[in-house]
Amino acid sequence: MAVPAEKAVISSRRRPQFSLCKEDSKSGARTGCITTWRGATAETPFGLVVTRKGLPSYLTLDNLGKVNGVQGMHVCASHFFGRDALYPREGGSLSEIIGQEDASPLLVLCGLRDPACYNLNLYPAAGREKISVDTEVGVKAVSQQDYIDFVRQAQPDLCLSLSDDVVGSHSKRRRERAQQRTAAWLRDSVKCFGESDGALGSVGLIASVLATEDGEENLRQARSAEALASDPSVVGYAVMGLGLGESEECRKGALQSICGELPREKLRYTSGPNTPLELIEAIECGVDVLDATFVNELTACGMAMAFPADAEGPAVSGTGRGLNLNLWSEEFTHDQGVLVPGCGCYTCQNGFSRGYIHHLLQCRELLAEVLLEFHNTHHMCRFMGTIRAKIDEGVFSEYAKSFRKLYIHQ
Amino acid sequence: NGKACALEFNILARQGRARASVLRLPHYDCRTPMFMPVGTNGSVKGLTPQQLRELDCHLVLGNTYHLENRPGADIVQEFGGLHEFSKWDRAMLTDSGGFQMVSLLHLADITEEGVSFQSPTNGQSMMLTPEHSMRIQNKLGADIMMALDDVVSSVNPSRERFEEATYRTTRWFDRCLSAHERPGDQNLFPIVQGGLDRELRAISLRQLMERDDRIPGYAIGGLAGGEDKESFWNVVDWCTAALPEDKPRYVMGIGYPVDIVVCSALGADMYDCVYPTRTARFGTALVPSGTIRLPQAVMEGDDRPIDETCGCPVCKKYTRSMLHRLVGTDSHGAILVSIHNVYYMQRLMREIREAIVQQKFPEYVRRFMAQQYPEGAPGWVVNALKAAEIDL
Ligand SMILES: [Zn+2]
Ligand SMILES: [Zn+2]
Repeated sequence: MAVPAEKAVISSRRRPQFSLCKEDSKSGARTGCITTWRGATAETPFGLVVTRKGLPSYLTLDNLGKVNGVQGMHVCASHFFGRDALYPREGGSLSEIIGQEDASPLLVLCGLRDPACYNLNLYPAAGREKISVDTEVGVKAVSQQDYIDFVRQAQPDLCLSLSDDVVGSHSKRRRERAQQRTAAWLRDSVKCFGESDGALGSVGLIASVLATEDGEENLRQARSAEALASDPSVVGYAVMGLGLGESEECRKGALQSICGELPREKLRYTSGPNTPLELIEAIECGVDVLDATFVNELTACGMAMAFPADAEGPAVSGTGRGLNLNLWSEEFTHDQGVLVPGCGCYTCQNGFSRGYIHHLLQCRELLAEVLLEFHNTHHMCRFMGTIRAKIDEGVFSEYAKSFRKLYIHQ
Repeated sequence: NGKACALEFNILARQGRARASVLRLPHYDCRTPMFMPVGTNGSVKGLTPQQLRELDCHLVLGNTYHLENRPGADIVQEFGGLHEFSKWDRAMLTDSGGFQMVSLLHLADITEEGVSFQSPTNGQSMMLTPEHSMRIQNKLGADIMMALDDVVSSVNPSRERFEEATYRTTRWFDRCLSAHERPGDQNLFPIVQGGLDRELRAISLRQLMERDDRIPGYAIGGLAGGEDKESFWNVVDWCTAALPEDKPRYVMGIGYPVDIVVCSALGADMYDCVYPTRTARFGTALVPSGTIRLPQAVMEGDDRPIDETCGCPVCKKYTRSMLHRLVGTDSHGAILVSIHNVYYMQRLMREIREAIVQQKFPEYVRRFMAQQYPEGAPGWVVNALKAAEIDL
């Protein structure tokens, strides 16, 4: 319950701060650091753990705590619809509801678009002011006000301003309107955050810029968003509208041109890298925070990441069969080895074998996914750690090149 | 190794017929009375071995029939046995495989040789004999193995069939004993049969106890099959009263908290049931007053934990409202409710053991039953506890 004393505490909280550490000389890649009033710090670039209803797919929070290097979670507001409204309406903040402690070192970023499963604008006719959202309790029309109310209650560390993500197949007119709506929602968000009674005072606004195939339009949008950089509530920028089946060049072009216009000292986020390769590319364009959706996807289909995640990139046994191990495969029936020899995750450290995980998958035992999520989350974090180290050492471009070569060759 | 058994059973305290003991098995010193969660395929509902240890589980049960189907006992043996395969370092128990066959396969047919059935994978005719069951269980390598018994549904009307099963169970136990290849590190428990018939149970008990020097512990079978509660407690009462004091007693398939408290009062020590974890998947949580159904609409907006008196990690963090939103749709929800339910069972067992050690067991039972049955306990509970010298 919100009592006056608590309000005073809230207003004394500060917004998360982003500081830039090192910029790569040959690409847009950079390292940095986000700190929050709670004392959470995250080194960028990093991948967010993509959640369902604020929780990892299979790892309970005690288990998530055992994964080294996890720095933040993506929480999707669309998972918090009750029968009649967005949840939480009153009572606890999101952290309380999902069981995260105040002292948790994990950064929480919240948005309306679900990184794991596209959920916006699937049904038209939400009205001019609203956006249609696919939720567990049906399709809902959400207004800017609904969303801001949710953010006010949820108290994430970072929040994306609403973006009208539409797939490329829409008409030109609809895409133009999407740009206009995204820009309008951003102006409105800045106003809301600026006038905040304190409840939004500790939430960092990430200004959404909608990427399109039109390079000129991208620049125009980025410039108008850039004009808001002096506003203290704007902690960073999000390049939205990507990860929706656009071509690689289109994606890269949009990221490059938009990031190029954005102020250096602000954080950058993008939705939707689907592979480690796309992730590297986004980082080359200057993105700091990404969704690691591929962790969830691989885990859900019984795969373990086995691509080289360390600096030297030694090929691990099993990678000859690909960058990921498909544990459903019969070839693992007798395999007593761990997923990736030398891996420091809970699963590999405790000796759970490929054969055992294969068996659990065949029996549809949930522990299979739990053990895979441990490993895949750890592997992703290790990969991000390597990327940060390479940027700091000033050799990121070389690393990206050799990683790309290896990845494509497999 | 000439030893006939691989366990030590030390009774720490007794009150009435109830006892609190240490059951020293090759992999763990278990405390009894004990509840054993069922890890059918070598895992318990998405919980890691570390979580199971933190929830105070001492022994996990594996199902021989399922493990022989997948991945097969030979493969488990290749990995060094079920402990190594599943990375569970505390105690394990495997059943004989017979019960699952009879209950899962309609085409199972029991003859003197064994249980014949059609393979669910290739339709071939196969046979589970006592020797075969031992061979599989020796490969799995659990601390406790169960002898193959002739299972008859406890509501089968034919006395002749029960009589046949009683005698055959003893004959099969003898075959299991001779086939058992690892008596030095695996314990073989026989199963008392005899249906709901006092005379047949007495025969089964007498026959098995004639072999007591080769028996590390006893199981009471043929229950949890839909019999009436009065018959249920009577059978447990007859068996525990007759069985030797110095051996552990395992009532198979029992897992409702009330049944466990009643059986412990009658002097039983070990229980297993899929109920707490299976019911968790559908959102049913165990609480001192019985159960709550998390999928129900009234749970939305309920900011209390599942159980305010529970110290489990789930009750410390989550409201019923949050869990309501997770169960049924998200695996995470099933895992959380399983954690609570396993914790609930292990806490119940801890409380029973402590009450016996502190000589406050009757008071504990009265308090427990008052919570479960605020309107008064049903007749069978009253009668059973009276037989256990506890007045409600
Ligand atoms: Zn690993
Ligand atoms: Zn609990």
